[in-house]
Amino acid sequence: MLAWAKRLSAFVLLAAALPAVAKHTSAEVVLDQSTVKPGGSARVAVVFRIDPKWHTYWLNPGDSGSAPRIKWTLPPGVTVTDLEYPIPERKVAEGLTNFIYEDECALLATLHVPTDAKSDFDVQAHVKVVVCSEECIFEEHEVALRVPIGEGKPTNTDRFAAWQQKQPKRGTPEKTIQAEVNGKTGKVTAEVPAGFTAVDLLPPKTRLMKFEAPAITTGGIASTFEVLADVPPDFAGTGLLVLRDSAGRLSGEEVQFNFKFNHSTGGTP
Amino acid sequence: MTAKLRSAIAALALLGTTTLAWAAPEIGKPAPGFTLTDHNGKEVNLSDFSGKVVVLEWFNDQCPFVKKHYNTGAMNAVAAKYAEKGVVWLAINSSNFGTVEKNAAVASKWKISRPILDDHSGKVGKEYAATNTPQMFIVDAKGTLVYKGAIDSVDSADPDDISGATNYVAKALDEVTAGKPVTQSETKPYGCTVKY
Repeated sequence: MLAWAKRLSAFVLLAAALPAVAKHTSAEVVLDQSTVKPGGSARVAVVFRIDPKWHTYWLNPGDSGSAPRIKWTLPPGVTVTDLEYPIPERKVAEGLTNFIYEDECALLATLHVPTDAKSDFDVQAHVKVVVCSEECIFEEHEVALRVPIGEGKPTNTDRFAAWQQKQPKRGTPEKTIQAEVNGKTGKVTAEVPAGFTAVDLLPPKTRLMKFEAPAITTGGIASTFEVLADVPPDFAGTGLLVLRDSAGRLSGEEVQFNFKFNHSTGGTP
Repeated sequence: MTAKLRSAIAALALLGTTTLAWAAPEIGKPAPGFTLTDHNGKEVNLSDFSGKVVVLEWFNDQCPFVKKHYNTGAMNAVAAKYAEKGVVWLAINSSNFGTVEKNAAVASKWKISRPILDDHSGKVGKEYAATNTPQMFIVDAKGTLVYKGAIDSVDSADPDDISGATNYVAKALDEVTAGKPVTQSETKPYGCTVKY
């Protein structure tokens, strides 16, 4: 073939191989064991790398956006717990609030292997993520993870320790805080444990209430909110108390917001 | 000035940002009137539809949350269902980069037979304090605002999430067209931010 035709065909092949639109996130799925025992479990991380100046969102994204979601394809008998989202950052711009992740975000879960597992198997993560900068883009990733079966051997220990540190504490039972509602407005207060200072109180995601930014109070942190319309009387939601310890380290606690309605604001019969 | 507005402005003053403190239209009060150009170049006035129930849908075809409702045909289906009951449904594009021509192209691409109104100056969006796309308002036959907020209950850009969600607009329209008061008159909208 002529030299120019070879160059042209090579270019055409290369162009065809390039993705049409570059994504702003990439995703990998990582296990904390290099082999897992039958009947045992391992921690699994779905790790997003996010382009600079772009971000994705916490479970409660705030005034726009939405959280990344994973749909697992698992062999029979294999289970994965609900994803655990790390402590986000509050971002306020032009009067709108979001709870975001930049740079890297690791969602954690626990994968359980059945007792009768005899050979290595694959799990598939179908990842759906909304990533935003000036505009928002809906991106999808298909990531496969091979789970090798064996004696159970830890790996990626430092990576998992770093990711776990960015997670809030989750109590069993969960810490609860009371939100008092009078008519169309309410207030929720969280006590701050001794030795810590309050940094933030992130509200649960709901279409039925609008939360203001919190204010530090004596011994705690409080947030007022507006009730938009009919809220069921048993309504509860999970929020996040963000704290700083005496060494300046950030930590968080998941807190269940329990709503107490006065003057029967809530309750559609 | 409401306490909410005062604290919002105070918080923003601390942050050193400037923003428009939009007074949102209230449920039970008259919906703000407007005149905008639709994607066929025709002038459309909200008062053209007095005596009819009108849905206003804040729209941006670039937004993945809007794409979710159109690629699945879901938004068109809901609008068509209530058109049979005489409900007027207007899409409003307040994106600063919007034009009548672009709206016409989208109407063709997504088979939208309803007017898409050009509000690229953002004037009407700000009068309605529209913060998101999609964001919905329902005006009853007397011109009173009876619903404002989200299209449905699941804030995702995933088309799979539409069928399991409660469509707040459909629910409100069932009530309004039956002459009943709207029970869920306000919800927090989700989606992209409006690109003023």
